[in-house]
Amino acid sequence: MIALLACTLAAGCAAGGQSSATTTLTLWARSDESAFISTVVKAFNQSHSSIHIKLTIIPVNNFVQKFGIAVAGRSGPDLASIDVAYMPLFAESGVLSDLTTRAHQLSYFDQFDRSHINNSTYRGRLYGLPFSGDASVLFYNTQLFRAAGLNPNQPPKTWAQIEVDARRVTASGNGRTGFYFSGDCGGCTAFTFLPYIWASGGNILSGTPADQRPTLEQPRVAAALRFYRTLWVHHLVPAASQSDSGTTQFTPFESGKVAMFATGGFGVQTLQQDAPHLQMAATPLPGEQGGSASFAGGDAIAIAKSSHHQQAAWQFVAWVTSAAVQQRYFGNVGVIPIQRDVAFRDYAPRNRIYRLLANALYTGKAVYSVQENALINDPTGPWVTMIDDAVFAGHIQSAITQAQSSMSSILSRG
Amino acid sequence: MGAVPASGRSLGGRARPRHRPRARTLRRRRALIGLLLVSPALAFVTVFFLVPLVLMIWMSLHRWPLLGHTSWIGLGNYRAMGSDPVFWRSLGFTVEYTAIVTPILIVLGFGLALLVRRRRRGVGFFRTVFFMPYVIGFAAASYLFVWLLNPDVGLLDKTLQSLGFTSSPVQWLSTRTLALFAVVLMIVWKTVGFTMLLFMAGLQGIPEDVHEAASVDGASRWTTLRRVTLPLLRRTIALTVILAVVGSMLAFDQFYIITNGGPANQTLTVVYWIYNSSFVNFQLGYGAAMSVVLMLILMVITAVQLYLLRDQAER
Repeated sequence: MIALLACTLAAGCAAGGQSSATTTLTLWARSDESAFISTVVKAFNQSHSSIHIKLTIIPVNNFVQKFGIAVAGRSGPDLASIDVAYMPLFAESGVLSDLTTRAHQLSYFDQFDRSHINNSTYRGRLYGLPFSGDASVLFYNTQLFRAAGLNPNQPPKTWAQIEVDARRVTASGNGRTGFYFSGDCGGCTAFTFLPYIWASGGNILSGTPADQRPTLEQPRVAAALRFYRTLWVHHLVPAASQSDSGTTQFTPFESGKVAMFATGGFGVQTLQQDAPHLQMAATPLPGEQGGSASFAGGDAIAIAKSSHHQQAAWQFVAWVTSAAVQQRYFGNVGVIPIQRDVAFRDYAPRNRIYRLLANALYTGKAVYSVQENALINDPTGPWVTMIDDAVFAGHIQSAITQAQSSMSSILSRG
Repeated sequence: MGAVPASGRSLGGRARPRHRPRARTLRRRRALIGLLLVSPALAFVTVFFLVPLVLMIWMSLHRWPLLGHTSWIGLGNYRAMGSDPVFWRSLGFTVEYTAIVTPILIVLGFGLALLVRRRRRGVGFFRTVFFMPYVIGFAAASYLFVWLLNPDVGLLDKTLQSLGFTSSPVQWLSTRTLALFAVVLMIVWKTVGFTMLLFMAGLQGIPEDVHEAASVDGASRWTTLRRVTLPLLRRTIALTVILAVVGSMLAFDQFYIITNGGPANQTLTVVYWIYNSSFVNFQLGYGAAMSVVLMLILMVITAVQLYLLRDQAER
């Protein structure tokens, strides 16, 4: 019945569109993108007389749910900008249009970030194109480094160095602390804590998408948790960390009292806006003994299978992923362009942080799982619970055992 | 039941052939009319309870994503429950919440009923005040408390501070105990009026002469309450306990709105977890399996309660 209703509505839309020769498309995006996406949409609408995009911003925490339920009832938008972490879920479920053939015809297809393409692919077919890029790196306050007698040009390259530097800053007094992270936020810790495990050669999942297993019992996971636990028990992290669900994640670093804080490109914009006088630099997230890794995040742009305007929607996808648009409306406002050439030729040379972010994106990786939300982002899920039990309560082994069993349970059921 | 003559049962099988044919057709017709009269209720139960129940059991045996294809996994969802710590923790929390709320509702509801039972000046006002919160929805009441408890703009913290009880805002939702306390406060305020109403009806059903007889026999008020009133209220108590237990075991709105399951999921109820599994993680099959288990748990609890609180005559 819902499908019938949606059809009638859509038919009504199409009929209305014909009279004015304009096709109206709806685009849903998450609230994290509100800073730049309305400019993108406005630019498209001004340069395309036959297509009009209507943008709807969805609160980030409700996006998956709202979009999932809407497309299940065939009342979803024509286009959606979807967090790459959720692309496997929607690609697998068959609600997105297969873009494989059309995407490979794009002259710049090889320029796309591989991690993005990988997360939008299910069983060899591509269900979304890269839209906006982001990657995690470690930011540090150069003023606090100097005040603690540290060389701001020599950022930490191992976990041990992070700990030493954090101790030095904390010891320099005045309520300063060395390190900060959002302890109660699955998305934040996947973005900023998981790379420590990756950089040390560990991982949290293995197997094919259809037959995935958690691998939390690897020694690298326990080592990374022990690393955070050490920072926490020695009071090198502000107490607010434990209950920070991500909403106030920038406040401690912005206050100028915290020396190190990992975030991504969207963080740079926030920090520059909120604390323009903060003197900061960035460095890759290191592994236990060196090396580095980052989480390649951002959004993919996808077309809903239920859309009656596949051609028009594709026009927007091709336009928004093109070099000129990526440079002008993404790179120029600080979002990492998802075409390699644009990212390294136009975006990276602007400053050291941008160069580092571009590098981090194009060498980064992401979590690929149709159950990403239940495993990682869910505030009741095993990832968040494990970090809470291990880092703040100190039960590292039992936290890992429980999360391993809990993740297996999630992947086995439906 | 009324359509079947009592004699038919007591006479047994041998008596039947002696019935005259006319009586048999009459009996059959009355049975048919009876069936016809209950059929709307029967249809209602079938469409709105039996069919969804069968569908839910069917779903629970599948991997049933909100989107995409379903596939049979037999008892896989039930097995997964065993290694799902969130399910067990939420079940434990729900039982704890029920164990806290039920006695408060019964004792407070009964106390209020005793206070406002008799007609005297102003009693109508108090009855209305006690019952009024019951008529607003759970969601509205929850949002009201979200505002009242807000550390920055909420009325509660401002009052506590101006009275000098606290020097800084109490972070009501920051710890498990405080968050649970806040929800219990809201639920008791909102639903105790209904319990009171049930007890008032129960008390009014007790004939006045029973009490008079007790006082003639020299029973104190306390003895009368314990030995006369409470035993006669057995049915009312059974009803209120079962309503409170079932209502609390199915708690969702108040936690969803006030605590969001937090801090750190320590106030996550079973229904909240069923909701999250089904509509956030899109694992509808698993949500269905947990619903089946919760239904069985409630059936057992209710059966035990009915058994314990059954009338003397039925023992």
